[in-house]
Amino acid sequence: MKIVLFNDYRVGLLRDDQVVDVSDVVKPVAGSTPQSTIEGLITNFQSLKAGFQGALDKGSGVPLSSVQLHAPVPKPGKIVCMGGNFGEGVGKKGEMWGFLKSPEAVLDPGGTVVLPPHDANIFHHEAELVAVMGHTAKHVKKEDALKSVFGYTCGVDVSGRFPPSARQQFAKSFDTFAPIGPCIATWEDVPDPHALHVRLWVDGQPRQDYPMNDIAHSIEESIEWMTNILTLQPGDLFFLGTNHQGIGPLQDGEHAEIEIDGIGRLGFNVSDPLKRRWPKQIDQDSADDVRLGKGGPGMRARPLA
Amino acid sequence: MRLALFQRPGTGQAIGPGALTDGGLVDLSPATARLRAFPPQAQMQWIIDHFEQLRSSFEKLVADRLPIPFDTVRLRPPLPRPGKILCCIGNYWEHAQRDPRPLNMFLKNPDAVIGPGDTVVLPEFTDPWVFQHEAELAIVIRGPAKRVAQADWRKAVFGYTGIVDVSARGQGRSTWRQGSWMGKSFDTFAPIGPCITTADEIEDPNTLWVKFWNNGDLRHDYVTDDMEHRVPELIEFATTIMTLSSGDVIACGTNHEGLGPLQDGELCEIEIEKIGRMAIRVHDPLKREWERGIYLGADSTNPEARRARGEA
Repeated sequence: MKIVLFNDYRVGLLRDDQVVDVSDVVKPVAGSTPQSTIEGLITNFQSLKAGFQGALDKGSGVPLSSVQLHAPVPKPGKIVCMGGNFGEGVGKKGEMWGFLKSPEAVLDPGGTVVLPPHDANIFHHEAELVAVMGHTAKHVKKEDALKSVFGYTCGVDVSGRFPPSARQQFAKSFDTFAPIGPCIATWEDVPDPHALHVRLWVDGQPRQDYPMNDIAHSIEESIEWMTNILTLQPGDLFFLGTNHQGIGPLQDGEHAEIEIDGIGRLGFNVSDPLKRRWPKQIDQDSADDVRLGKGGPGMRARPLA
Repeated sequence: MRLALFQRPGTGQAIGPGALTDGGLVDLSPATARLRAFPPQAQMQWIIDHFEQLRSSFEKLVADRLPIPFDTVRLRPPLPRPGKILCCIGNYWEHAQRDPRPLNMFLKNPDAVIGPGDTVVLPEFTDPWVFQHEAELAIVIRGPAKRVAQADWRKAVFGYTGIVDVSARGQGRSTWRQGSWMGKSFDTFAPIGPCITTADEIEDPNTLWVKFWNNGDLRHDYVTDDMEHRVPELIEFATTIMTLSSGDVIACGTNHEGLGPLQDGELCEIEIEKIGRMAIRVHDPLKREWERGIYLGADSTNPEARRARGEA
């Protein structure tokens, strides 16, 4: 099933290009927030499923194009991310690396990433598969890891790149730097997440385009590693990392779209009050630097004069 | 006012708000009946958002009620599950003759919070070579706070508490997986408490002493006037990057001169002037042992270690 939040945070299911309202099946409790509603849905999914299926079979839908979608996980308890987690097409495999991203950064589908005035070298898109956690997960073994995932969504880990002298640690945590959506595709819809393919375009220009089976530490290994450090909770997001081949700048006035087969397509806009400019193309220097192990992405970039 | 969350003895007792006084804890729940169904973090956030309306009824309870002796209640962390925990990096001068450094922070796992009397559990990772305490003053935010200018910093501050930024080290005193900050995010690595002292009781947060004891031995012993980037600047820096919400926490950084290892079986205490004292325990399933005492390694900023290295 593909779960969405829409209009005034109603819960819906996607049926082709229609949204079927299942808010009445979910029955939100008093005092609930959109996030607690989704967390409740995740925790109680097995008991809600029959009602959901009934609505999909018989319920009337409205065209997807007629509703306002929200991020399907509007205020996750945590966003954890893997870094440097892909083979970059050449079988790279570094040590396991993770970090936290601000949960306040979540952006709705169709929303606008606002670039901050901070003196960055460049702001990159990192298109990623995102796991939406389904259970309290601590010390999860690889063999059981996928069972702790409720579903998957598309995410862009928008990343500011700063000169080393700035020592900026919040480069990925500015407000609006986490577009996610358009839906949560439940685990049953994604039997093999490593078979998925991730693509991103900026104003129709192809940028990232990579298979999930390029991942260096599998999704199972990543979950095992992360849950040996901290406990993941239902509704937490796990950004699984990106393949940097194809990364490029996000800049004022642009429209970007990420698509993962089997999940859907998510669009967002970009605004930069400072109107900085970078070459509108794949940042090949950064892609090469990461692939060849010569340095981090964005180290050689600067805004155009 | 010193606001806490507490539990009465016995299993299954609800967590509710209280005020710490010299004579003990005063139960504030008669003034917050509507909060009973809320999770503890939401209770404290609601109090933060409605404090001005609640203050007189809280003060009346404190004046009228007989306090409950501290040894018959269990204090819980005053913010059991903040939306975000931001921590300053290297934000104290520590007697160093050096150029100013840019202010920076990292995110710490908000699910890592434990409270008074709770236990830090060292992970069964043998990759970090040691686990150390960093005792810190923490700012409790009143939000939503976005792009708050330094001059307006008080608008975003509800109060102050204490935090121990427990840290796994890769080499020397570098955090494990340097640059990722995950070495600070293991479960149980964020003891917070014992209470939130409201901002009206601390005119200048950059005048407070911070102390930390390990099995009775004094480790950290510093004053927050040594902070390089002060509280107003921390508020502006953080809220210019991300929106802060009520109950979010900014840890102001530690003075590293008093760092030391945490190891199995130890009883530690953090105390901050005008906030109070909190005890925590340490458990290590692997029973590792390190040399006891303040860390004096090659990158220690402790004055004794510096003298031994021939530095002024």
